[in-house]
Amino acid sequence: MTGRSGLQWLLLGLAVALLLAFAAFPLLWMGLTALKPSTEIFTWPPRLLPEAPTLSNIERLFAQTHFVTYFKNSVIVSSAAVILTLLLAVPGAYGLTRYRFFGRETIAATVLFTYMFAPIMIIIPFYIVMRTFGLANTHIALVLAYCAFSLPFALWMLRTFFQSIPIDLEEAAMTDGASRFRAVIHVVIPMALPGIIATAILTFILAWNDYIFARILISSDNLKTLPVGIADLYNASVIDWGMIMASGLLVIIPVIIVFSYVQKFLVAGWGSGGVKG
Amino acid sequence: MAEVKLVALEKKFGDISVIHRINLDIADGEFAVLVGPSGCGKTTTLRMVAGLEEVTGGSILFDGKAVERLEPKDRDIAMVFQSYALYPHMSVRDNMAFSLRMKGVSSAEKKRLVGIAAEMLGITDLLDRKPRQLSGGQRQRVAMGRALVREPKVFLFDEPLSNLDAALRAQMRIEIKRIHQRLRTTIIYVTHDQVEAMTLADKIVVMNGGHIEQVGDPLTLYRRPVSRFVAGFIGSPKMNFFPARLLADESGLHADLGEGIRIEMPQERDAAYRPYAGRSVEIGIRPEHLLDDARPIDSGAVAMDVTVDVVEPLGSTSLLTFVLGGTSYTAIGDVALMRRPGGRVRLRAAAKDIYLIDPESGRVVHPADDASTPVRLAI
Repeated sequence: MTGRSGLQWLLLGLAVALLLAFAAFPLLWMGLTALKPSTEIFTWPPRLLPEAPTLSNIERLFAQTHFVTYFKNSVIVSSAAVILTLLLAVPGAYGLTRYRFFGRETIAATVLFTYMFAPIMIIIPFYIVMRTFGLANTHIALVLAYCAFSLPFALWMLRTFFQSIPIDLEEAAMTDGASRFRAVIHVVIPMALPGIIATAILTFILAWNDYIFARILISSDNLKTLPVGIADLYNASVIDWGMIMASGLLVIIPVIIVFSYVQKFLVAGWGSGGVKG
Repeated sequence: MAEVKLVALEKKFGDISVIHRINLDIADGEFAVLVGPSGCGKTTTLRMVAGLEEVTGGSILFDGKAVERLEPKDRDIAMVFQSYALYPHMSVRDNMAFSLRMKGVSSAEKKRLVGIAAEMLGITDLLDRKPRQLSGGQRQRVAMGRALVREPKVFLFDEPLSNLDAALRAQMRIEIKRIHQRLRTTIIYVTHDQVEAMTLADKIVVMNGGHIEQVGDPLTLYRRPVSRFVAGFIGSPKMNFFPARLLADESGLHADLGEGIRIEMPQERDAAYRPYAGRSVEIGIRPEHLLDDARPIDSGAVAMDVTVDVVEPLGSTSLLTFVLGGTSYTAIGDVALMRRPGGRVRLRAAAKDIYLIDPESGRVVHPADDASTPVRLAI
């Protein structure tokens, strides 16, 4: 809140508007197209707002495709991936922060290194492993894949969060009669909550948006997730753009809802004041 | 309440030994202060008692029962941390009730006990606040309150006042002492501040380099320090140490401080000091015993003539700094004498207030019959 002049504010506003337009316009276009009847989609010159707004695209999506199944599959797989990742990453990151053992730093560094592999590089071996275990074409395979991919980042991020929690707080809890486990439950986890939520969101988004793993690992139509299911809409003889845009709209709505709800937890930390005067 | 015993307690970090087999007895209800410079091992010792640091060797006994292998939660201790370590996501009330919650105390009982502790510390109106909404002094009180709600066997304090300003520190010191007088729970208190140690302790434990230098009540440590380290650490301003040669002639022993300053040693210490005749020694005199005032020098006293370097008036007295052989020393002066830098003064000390230190061992040489020296109040 320093003294910026009117001109500076104007320029800043313009820059923000430009960036916003760049990021938001495709979304807006998608949303508006989803509400247009098929005849309006290809009119020239293009019109931004639908002349006769309709929900027929969405109706067709529900009636003629397995959209609901895909949606359900996506919710199940993404949620399971989040839960499994957190169950492994929270204790793992805590261990990498609080226990001293041989090779701790090497493990922490190597973990991040694995994050640098592109999914495409390991997808074939991963498929073979899953097939060997009889897990190909199951949701379990997808959950394991997403977990394997988000775990390095989750460990790294949560470790940073745990490191920022003063060890005094845990020690205080222990001298107050808590076991280490209860100290973690009552003190460490509440304080690391913003980090845990951020990790959950990133894992959820990774799983929700994934195309490549779902494409390779899943073959049955009734097990497909949204990205693959929607992509298959292109394979129809006539590409129904209205329906594709409608599905795009429905895919991002839950993400937006979750984001706006969870955002308040993300405002980092509980503020200082626990330690030191 | 418990009696605490440390037996041959030892701590190593890897190959580095930080606590060397120390022994210490703290009686039930006693206020023991571990004091020493940073790195002396006092906090490590406290953390071992708390169970936050593993013990390499030796034993810790609470009422004769070995606790060194127990988890902190099973030792029945309460600790106040230097950083206060308040749980930032909990209200003051929940912070204070945390230990009771861990014990499964009923809500009504929790409320009652938190109420009593809050009352004792005058923080009743802060109970619904979060730690970040408190000032440093208030946080300190909450940290104490969190320890006070229980009736632990031992209270452990790790430099609890070091983050407070001087005025608050003095106030909290009194309050801690008052709480101890009321509850009579065994306290182990760590500080680097010798004033805190002197004012609070029933028993001071001076630590240095992972050893215990001396254990005793404050006045014993002040009057009969066993070593140069303790003599220099206890007392403020710090004791002066003059390098000297102890010489013998027909009139007895005297110390030659150089620059023509000669201190006659009292006859009754002759036996103790005689083995040091002809050797280099150090003469220790506390500033508050080295006086510049208008009284005439009496017969049992020693005198030295020095040039005043710096004068620091304190109100009732003033600190006079003077230089001998390139080293600065401190004496206490009478403000009424209006000393100026550069002036010559004659400083006076009673013979009984002089210490002889063996510079090789760092030990203070005490005459055997000296224990009954009357106490002289400082400044």
